[in-house]
Amino acid sequence: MTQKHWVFIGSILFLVLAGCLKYPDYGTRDGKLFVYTGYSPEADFSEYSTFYLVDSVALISDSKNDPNRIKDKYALDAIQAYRDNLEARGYVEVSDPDSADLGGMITVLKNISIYSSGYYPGYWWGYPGYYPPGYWGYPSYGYWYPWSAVYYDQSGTVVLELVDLKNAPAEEKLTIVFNAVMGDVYNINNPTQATVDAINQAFEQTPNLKK
Amino acid sequence: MIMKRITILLAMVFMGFFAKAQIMPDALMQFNYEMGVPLGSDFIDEYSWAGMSFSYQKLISDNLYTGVFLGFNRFDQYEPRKTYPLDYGAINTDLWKYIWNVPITWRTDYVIPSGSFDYFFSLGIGAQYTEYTLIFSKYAIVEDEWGFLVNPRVGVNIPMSISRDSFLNLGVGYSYATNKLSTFDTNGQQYLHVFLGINFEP
Repeated sequence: MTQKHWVFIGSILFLVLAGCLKYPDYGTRDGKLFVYTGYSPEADFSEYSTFYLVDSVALISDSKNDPNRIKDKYALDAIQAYRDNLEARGYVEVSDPDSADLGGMITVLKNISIYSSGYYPGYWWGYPGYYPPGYWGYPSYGYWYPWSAVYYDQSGTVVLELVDLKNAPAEEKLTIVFNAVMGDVYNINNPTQATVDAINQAFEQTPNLKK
Repeated sequence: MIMKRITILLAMVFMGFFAKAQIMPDALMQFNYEMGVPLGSDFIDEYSWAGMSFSYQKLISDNLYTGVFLGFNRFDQYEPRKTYPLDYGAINTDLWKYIWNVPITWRTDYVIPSGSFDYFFSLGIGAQYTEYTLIFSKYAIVEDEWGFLVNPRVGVNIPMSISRDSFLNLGVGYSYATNKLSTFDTNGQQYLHVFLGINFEP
């Protein structure tokens, strides 16, 4: 074998080993979800008294086989966790969004293929499963984030949002006053419990969200 | 017993003779397993066994080899779950901190034959690619940068054959690279390396 052969073989061997070693599995070790929370700097959470929660979880997916909304055990447990935490913070649930100060919704992102140019924060707002402004009785208004919220476009992300319904008519927009971004729900053992725990954690790390 | 000792003694004498009278190989190829320790880093302070280097050098004068050196080192450190406050919010996660370095240098070795093994002093000058990553769940914050690199090394080559065309080599090295990564607030990269490998005439 000539020196050139050796150099060639050595270089290939080196590159293969480098490729193999570059990224081992860096998954979560504690079986819990990542939890980001953010809230509006202008929000005074004590001004709200009541809340209304959606009865199903919006599912954002490119797959035509997926439903737009889910209402299975996962969805119901997640909504219940959202409810429990809002009640624990002093808010009272009402059965009609027209009489609610806050509107809560949960969205799960799955199989989204619109990563390329043109997406914007909240780009999933136009997706069929997402609760549109009209759901809250304001079809001509748009949603609005008053802070630089963290958005993730990956599959497996669960998004909690709390909409200011009390001031919507005066402001002519649906301001999101609190959100939580959690994931990856598709790569965790027991996603239902992990989501409930993550929702509890979202409130724990947002102590100012209270009546 | 006495014969055995004489045999060993003779072998040592002959090895010394060969070492002194050796003809240096025209070229040397080296594969090393590299252990690295970050120095003065706030980001990662754990040593890593995930590293390797490869070099090919030609003899240019009596004791001087020069050629190319290519390496990589991966460093990672697990950070248990905690809550990180933000201006208007917080993040709660466990995470991995990760550094990937690829040094590419022009390396020159000065080799001093000494009895049954050779010492070498080496200086590599070139560039280093550095990638810093924070990995949490399936999300990541990544920044990468190229920098200027200086990499001195010292070690020994231990002959593995009487013909002295293959060696076991081991030693230590230090590397300093100028890579600045603003997101991670780092200014320069320093590492200590311990390496072990083979050196042979291809």
